[in-house]
Amino acid sequence: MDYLSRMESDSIYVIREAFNRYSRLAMLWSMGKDSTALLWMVRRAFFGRVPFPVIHIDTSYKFPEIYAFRDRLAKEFDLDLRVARNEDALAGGMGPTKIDKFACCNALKTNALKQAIAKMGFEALLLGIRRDEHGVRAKERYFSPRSQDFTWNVGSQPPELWDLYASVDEAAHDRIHPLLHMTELDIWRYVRREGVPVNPLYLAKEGKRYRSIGCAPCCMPIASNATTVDEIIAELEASHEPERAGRAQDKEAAFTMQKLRSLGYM
Amino acid sequence: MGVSNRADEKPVLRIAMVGHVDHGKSTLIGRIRHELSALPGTSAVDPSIAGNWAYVVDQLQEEREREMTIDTTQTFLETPACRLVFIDVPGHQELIHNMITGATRADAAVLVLAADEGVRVQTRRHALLLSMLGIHTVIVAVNKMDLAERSEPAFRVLEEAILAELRAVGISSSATIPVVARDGDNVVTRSPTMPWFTGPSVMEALGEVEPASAVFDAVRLPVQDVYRHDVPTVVGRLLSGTIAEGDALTIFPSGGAATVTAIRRFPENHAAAEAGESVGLVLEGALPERGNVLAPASDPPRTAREFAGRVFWLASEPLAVGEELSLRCGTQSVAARIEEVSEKLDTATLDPLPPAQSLAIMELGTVRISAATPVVMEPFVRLPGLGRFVLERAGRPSGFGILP
Ligand SMILES: Nc1nc2c(ncn2[C@@H]2O[C@H](COP(=O)(O)OP(=O)(O)O)[C@@H](O)[C@H]2O)c(=O)[nH]1
Ligand SMILES: [Mg+2]
Repeated sequence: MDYLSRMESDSIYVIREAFNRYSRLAMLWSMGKDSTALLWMVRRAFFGRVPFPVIHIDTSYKFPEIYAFRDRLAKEFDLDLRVARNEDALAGGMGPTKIDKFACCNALKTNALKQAIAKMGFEALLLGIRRDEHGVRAKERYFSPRSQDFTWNVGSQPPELWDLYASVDEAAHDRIHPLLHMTELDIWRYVRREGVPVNPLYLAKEGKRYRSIGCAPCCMPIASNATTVDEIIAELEASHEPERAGRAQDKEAAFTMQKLRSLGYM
Repeated sequence: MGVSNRADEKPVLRIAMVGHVDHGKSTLIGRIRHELSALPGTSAVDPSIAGNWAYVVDQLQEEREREMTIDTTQTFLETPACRLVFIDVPGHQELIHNMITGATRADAAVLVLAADEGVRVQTRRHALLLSMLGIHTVIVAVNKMDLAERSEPAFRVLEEAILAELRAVGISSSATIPVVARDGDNVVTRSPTMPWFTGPSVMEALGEVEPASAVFDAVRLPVQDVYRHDVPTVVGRLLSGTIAEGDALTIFPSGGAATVTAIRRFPENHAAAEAGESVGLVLEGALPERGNVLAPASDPPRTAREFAGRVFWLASEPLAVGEELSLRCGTQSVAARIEEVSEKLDTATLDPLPPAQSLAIMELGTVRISAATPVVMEPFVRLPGLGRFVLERAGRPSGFGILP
């Protein structure tokens, strides 16, 4: 079996374990390449269906292309799409320009997710994070228990032996990470092979494209002439820049990513 | 895109860096990442770490403050020949569960030994665990040779000592290499600073490692679930063998018979499935449930209520004879009782321990287990996926074992 098929197969194994374990499961979808690839694998795992809700944490600062992409695929894939927004924070004027980015991410992403989980009663969430995105994400488990206040106790994670994932835990909710073993290049090669829909923000326009997408004010495009997935792959094979170099929240201070994640950031 | 298509076919080798705390495991990975950051698709090492190579993997605040690895990490490299996954693990005995979490994902290992300290407790314990986990491809890096004047006699003494330790646990190292991880000597390229050494660098030795090929080819499909949304579909990952439409399979342990009428895949079905694939089968005949194993009647798996395995204990509260807990193997989850503990080993010294009614943290022993219902297993050397098990106490993995 070629390596992409093996990676997909291992991811599907994790997705199916999660589906077997939790009756109130959902997945987070940011419309980026990773969570869209995850959505693709979910459809493969369940033979074309997505048998649980798909949550979009909407900060309201996303690119217009993201909303268009979301609505198109939600229809095409027949998704049970739930949009989660921290309306109180938005009404209070929260935004990346008002105060620091750390507080903004925490309010509009982490707290929006907290509210959504509480309201909809989910016990577990599938997320498309990968180890090679960030040195702190590299420390994740496939099944990661989170406490009531959402914290990730990275210093004392439970053991995870082979793929015999712990059968119960006292966690308030669990995060499941089926794509942990894939790199950015793996994802793009998978997207190319499978024809996974690609958000147009990733493709170069006028010499610029986004390598990592999130909120418009906090993502910087990179200089690029890659207008096709083939060209993106060729560009990444030649690049030595870290993937999240264009993400503002990773840069603010040392250990920001760890702090965000330990507070429950995705 | 010829190159990328060939990249799809490259073998994957997952390498755990093991050994005693502070012997240089994280530094070695960081140094490899630094020296090979010109490889395609590899991001440059953050220059602000200023030669502190362990920071490439030690990225938690606590790890940097305490100057030690706390949890296991993976970092990825793609060379022209293969795809490498480096798995860093902590070398501190309090963190042995994190070490095992990392090591259970590895195909091969580099055992790091610091020249100034020589063989220490975790050197020996990690070697034993590698052997137990079936990781028999091991390269030894004798690190910090700068603290032994990069001298050949010092290296030979350490080489002899570590090879004896490995022999004692049934491992023969494929290379023993004098290294200065901090400076990159014999890490990627051979170093002129130790001209007496004529062997390979660490990366050259890893390049020689052949990915293990499966020898066992009878069908074993642990059932993960049965989906009944439309046509009932049995799902699971095929551990070994190949399945084709029309194959007759038996459900273990119940013994029901079924024929494969379709191998489902979205958007188009497949005519056959190979080992490693997450499959969906439509069956005619009996329908299995989660935990069952599909296999041919002509080559059945081992099915038993009672068995003995070698168990390594991870929880601070010892495992006691008479204790009831949960046994996990493949997709099976069965209530089990500990009947007997024997042949106990002190994993710090490899000395036998006196007989006892319990197995304490980091002790290894033969444990006789009786399960509430029959368990389908295979000897570990035959099929690792059905030859290893986890013992869970109140849902928490508390020990693991291997079926001889
Ligand atoms: N002198 C010397 N020190 C080294 C060498 N490699 C690593 N170290 C130091 O040994 C200490 C422990 O290294 P680390 O990689 O964290 O060890 P680990 O616990 O095995 O991961 C650090 O202070 C390193 O800088 C080496 O080749 N020579
Ligand atoms: Mg370390």
